[in-house]
Amino acid sequence: MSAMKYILPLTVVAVIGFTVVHTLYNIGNAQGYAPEQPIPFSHAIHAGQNNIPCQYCHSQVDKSRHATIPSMNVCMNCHSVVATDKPNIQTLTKLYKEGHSFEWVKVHDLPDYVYFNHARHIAKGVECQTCHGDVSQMSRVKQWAPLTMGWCVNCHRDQTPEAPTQCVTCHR
Amino acid sequence: MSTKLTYWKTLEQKDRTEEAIAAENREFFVLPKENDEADQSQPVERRDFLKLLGMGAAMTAIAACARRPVEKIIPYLNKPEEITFGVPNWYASTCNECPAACGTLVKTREGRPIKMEGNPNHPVSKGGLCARGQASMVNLYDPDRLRGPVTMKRKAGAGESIEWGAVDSIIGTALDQISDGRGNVRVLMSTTTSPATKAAVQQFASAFRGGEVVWFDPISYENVIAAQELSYGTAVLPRYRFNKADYILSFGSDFLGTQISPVEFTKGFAAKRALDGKKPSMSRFTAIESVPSTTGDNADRRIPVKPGDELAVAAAIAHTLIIQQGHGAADAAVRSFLSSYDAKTVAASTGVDAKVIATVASELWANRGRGIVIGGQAAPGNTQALALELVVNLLNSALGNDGAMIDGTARPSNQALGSYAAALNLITEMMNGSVDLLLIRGVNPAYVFAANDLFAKASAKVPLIISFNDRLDETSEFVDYVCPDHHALESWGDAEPQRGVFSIQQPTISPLFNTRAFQESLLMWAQKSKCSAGALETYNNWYDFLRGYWQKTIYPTTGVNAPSFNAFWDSVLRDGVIVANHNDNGSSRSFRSSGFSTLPAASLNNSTDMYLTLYTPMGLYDGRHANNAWLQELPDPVTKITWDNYVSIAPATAKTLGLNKGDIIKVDTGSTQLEAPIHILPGMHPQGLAIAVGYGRTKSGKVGNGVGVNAFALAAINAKAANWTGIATKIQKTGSNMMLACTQGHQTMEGRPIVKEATFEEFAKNPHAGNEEHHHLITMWDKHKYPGHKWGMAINLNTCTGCSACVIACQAENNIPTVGKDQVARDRVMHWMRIDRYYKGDEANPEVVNQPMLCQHCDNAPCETVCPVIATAHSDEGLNQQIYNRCVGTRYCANNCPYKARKFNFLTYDSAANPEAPLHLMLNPEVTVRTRGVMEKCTFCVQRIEEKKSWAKDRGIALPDGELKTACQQSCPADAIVFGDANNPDSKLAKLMKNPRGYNLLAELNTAPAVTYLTKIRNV
Repeated sequence: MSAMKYILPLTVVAVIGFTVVHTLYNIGNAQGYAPEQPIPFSHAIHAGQNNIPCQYCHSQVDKSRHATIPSMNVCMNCHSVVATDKPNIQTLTKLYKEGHSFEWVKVHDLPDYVYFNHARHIAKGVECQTCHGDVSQMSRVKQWAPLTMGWCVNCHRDQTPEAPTQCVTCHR
Repeated sequence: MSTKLTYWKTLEQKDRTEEAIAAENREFFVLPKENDEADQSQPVERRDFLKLLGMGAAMTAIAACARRPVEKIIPYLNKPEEITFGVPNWYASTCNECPAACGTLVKTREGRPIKMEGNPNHPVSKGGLCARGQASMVNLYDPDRLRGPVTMKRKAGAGESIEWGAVDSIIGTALDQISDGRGNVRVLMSTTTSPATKAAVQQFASAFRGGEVVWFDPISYENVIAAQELSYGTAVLPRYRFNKADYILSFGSDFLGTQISPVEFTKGFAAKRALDGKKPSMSRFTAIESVPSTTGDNADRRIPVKPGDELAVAAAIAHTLIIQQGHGAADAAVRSFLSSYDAKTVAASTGVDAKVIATVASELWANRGRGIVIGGQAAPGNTQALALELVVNLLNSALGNDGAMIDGTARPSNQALGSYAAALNLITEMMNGSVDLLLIRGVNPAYVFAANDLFAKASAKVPLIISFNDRLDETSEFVDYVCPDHHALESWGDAEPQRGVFSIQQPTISPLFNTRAFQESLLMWAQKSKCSAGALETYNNWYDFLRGYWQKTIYPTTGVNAPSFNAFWDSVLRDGVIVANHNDNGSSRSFRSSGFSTLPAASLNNSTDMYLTLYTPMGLYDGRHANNAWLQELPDPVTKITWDNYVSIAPATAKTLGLNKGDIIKVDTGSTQLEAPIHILPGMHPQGLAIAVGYGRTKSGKVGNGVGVNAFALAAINAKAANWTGIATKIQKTGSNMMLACTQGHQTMEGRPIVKEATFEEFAKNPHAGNEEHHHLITMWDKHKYPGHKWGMAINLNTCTGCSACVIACQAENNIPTVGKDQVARDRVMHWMRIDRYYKGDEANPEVVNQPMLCQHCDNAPCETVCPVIATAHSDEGLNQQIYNRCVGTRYCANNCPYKARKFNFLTYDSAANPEAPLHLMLNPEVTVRTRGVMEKCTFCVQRIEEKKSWAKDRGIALPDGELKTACQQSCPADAIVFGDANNPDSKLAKLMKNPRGYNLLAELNTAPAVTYLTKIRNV
């Protein structure tokens, strides 16, 4: 009985404590973030069903720190003939002809004080999936990895030889 | 030795006033102003503090729980082939911020220029770029620029905007009327070195009977040109070859700061003083000047004279050399002119020691054929100043310097065309009502000729005036239309700074606003009207005209055998520059003494009155940069004052008159009066007063309006000339005082041996001279390991001139905010790189050392050990890393930094964190923007380090020495800064670290800095 006297309050404290710590720990962690896009562009169709390589559209990823969203004319390469009867493709074509671009919602958004370079990771042979998950199965792209500092640093430490873990590697 | 010498930065420190000692004892002086009501009237009580603290914590917690903002990505519609998002493009171009026309490389990101750097392949500027050039970005993105053409109807205010088409048809009709009848068209322009622009303007002007181009620069070298014509028969601005000169004698010249082509001159001057050869040799430089300048600060011997006495001293030297010692030929005209200037008489009148005159004369003779005598720009068009330039020519010819050191024949300069005589003649014509159309480009006559409303009155008589200036400036209310020109970074152009050296100016951004190139406006109007403007009418636009001009006129002279003109053009665009004239060896010219007979009889000025001289400031130049916050906040290299101009006065005189720093005095030249604060400046002549032009703009924009006073108004203007120096002036106390925001006296080092120096004689005997002290330090700890690179820097104190180009280069590269006058006065200036200026010796004429100061990236960094949150840590490449997002702003690190190299963001400075559009386009996306509460400091340009490391990795090579340059090093016109890898024994840095002149700052503290300074050597 006397034990029960302590178990309940201890459990309550533990649950509250865990919740608080867990919540604080995850502030700013946007893992799972999958915003709605201006048109429901599906990576599952493009990269999955049609097996289009990532770099066909994200062609600058090995040259720049940014993976770069393809410009509208890249979409039109195919979609001037492919699936022209679909309403979303018609939206795309109309927008392109009017001289406008889509305003895509950024999914993987690192804080402004973090520097990340796609080209260096590609040069080292890191797979896109390592950080982005299996995008070819996503009909709406979501942030697969936590993209927290601990997650980045752990991966850097696990490499042989170790990838740089100096502060200025990412913060400058 | 040198370590025992006492150095001081301010007069208060020298005199050990209580104020100075108190300032030294305070690490951060937060309240420099005694009556700061905002901060002192409402002290925060403990309870209030706790309430605010709790509230703050709660708010922060709530804010942190909010979902982060949604960001959008808008891709290109059709991606331009040459642009890769995230990768910079570089374009070779030409700087247009002063007439020197240095070659530049412009870094652009996604179609917007973010940084200017010097073009190392440019034969004139050789990779250097001055502070004004670096600050060009701020002028481009200035929110106060006009958005499009405006009809002003001669009214003050904003005017009404108008379409280009409407302007064109109105002006076309007006031109028709002019070309039908009388046709006095005048184009008032500041110097351009652009051959194509000159051709376009000349063609436009010559379409009208009596059309003329009037060249005018507020900073004028017309005396130099006029004296060259009198002495040698051709009106030419010579090229000075400082890179060859063993002896330099200057009279009021600021060739290292603002005169003609300072970057080129600094390169040459520094090359002779780097002391990097096997055999020790360096030039000797004597400066005779009335205002302490950047140039005079670097002299081995500096002789202060009263404004206007430069001529007497120059003539006395010539008298000693030519008449007394019989060197060089002297005819009757020369003899008669020099007769009244024998050394004794001049010594008695000017107070310059006769022995010094004799010494300088004999040194000149000993270095004949290897020396340069140079005058200044002061006193444009004034006969006394003309006489000085004639004596300078006489000396150079008598010594055989002309030709070998001063090139007036092979590759002379085009960097100054303007004259006050021409501009004042134009004003007379306007007054007479004989000008029908006035076009104004790149000058602001209503500001320069503000005294007695000279321009305002003249403009009333001109039926149509059009300005091409980029903003509604002082002149705009006297014009009918303002047709804003592009900024140089938006426009095509070219330059020929010296004969046969052609460089190209490429647009690096689409025009930000609805502006149009000035040349294109002329072309449009020539085509819209009936007047015939020759070739100008046959081109569709300015670019075609420029290209056509290059094809027809420039390409054939270059001797380049390209497969086609297109191939040639492409190569010029890539290189930025082409040299058509490979002969840069001038030949000596025969000297004509007839010029002396045109001068009025010589008279020595023995009066004890005060004399005023005007000078050109390093930052604002002629006032064109008044709205440039970087340059307003750039501490003047001599006085270290920001955001103001002031009357400089000698310490002795201030004492006699009972004046304190910041006291406002009334300056009365007889014709003009104005009130300005004083600054007590060591090195001023007791009878001298000096004030910088370029301040006191009323319509430059939000930044520059009302900063300082307009000193152009003090120039004594007559019908033909404006006198800038030796103006008899009375001063009077007004009883009021104002605060001048001076950065010197901040970050004091309390007499520790920070600068080390020796004389050249001592150095030649013992290369360790001045640097004998070596500390044997013991430590308990293991040293850091640097397995790969170990970055370090070496700074040569002997070549650093204090020009401050590095300060602005660093500001541009690292998104450093400007903070404003009030914050500067509170020691909150944010520059990561500063130039400490130390004085030594007598306050009447002290010696000066300039020392660039930045984070020393210590191996045993005192800042790292005290940070409670480990926001500053050591990298395995020797960098002292500052992590902004980790910093909580305790400022422990800054308190523990013996070099005072850390800067704290007391506020969120909008100039970087939230700049007014379009200034935000200027930010470097590779560098984090900092906000309030964060410590920051020099990073050794870590973004450049990582970029170059990545570059080398991509190529699978070791990073070659010299490939990686920090922003300060890149821009340094004196090549005083070397950055490199200390682990690479073949690197330039590793060698300099072992140099006997090398020392670390405060080595006895065992902080083991990564920056090595090389001792200052004086050739006295």
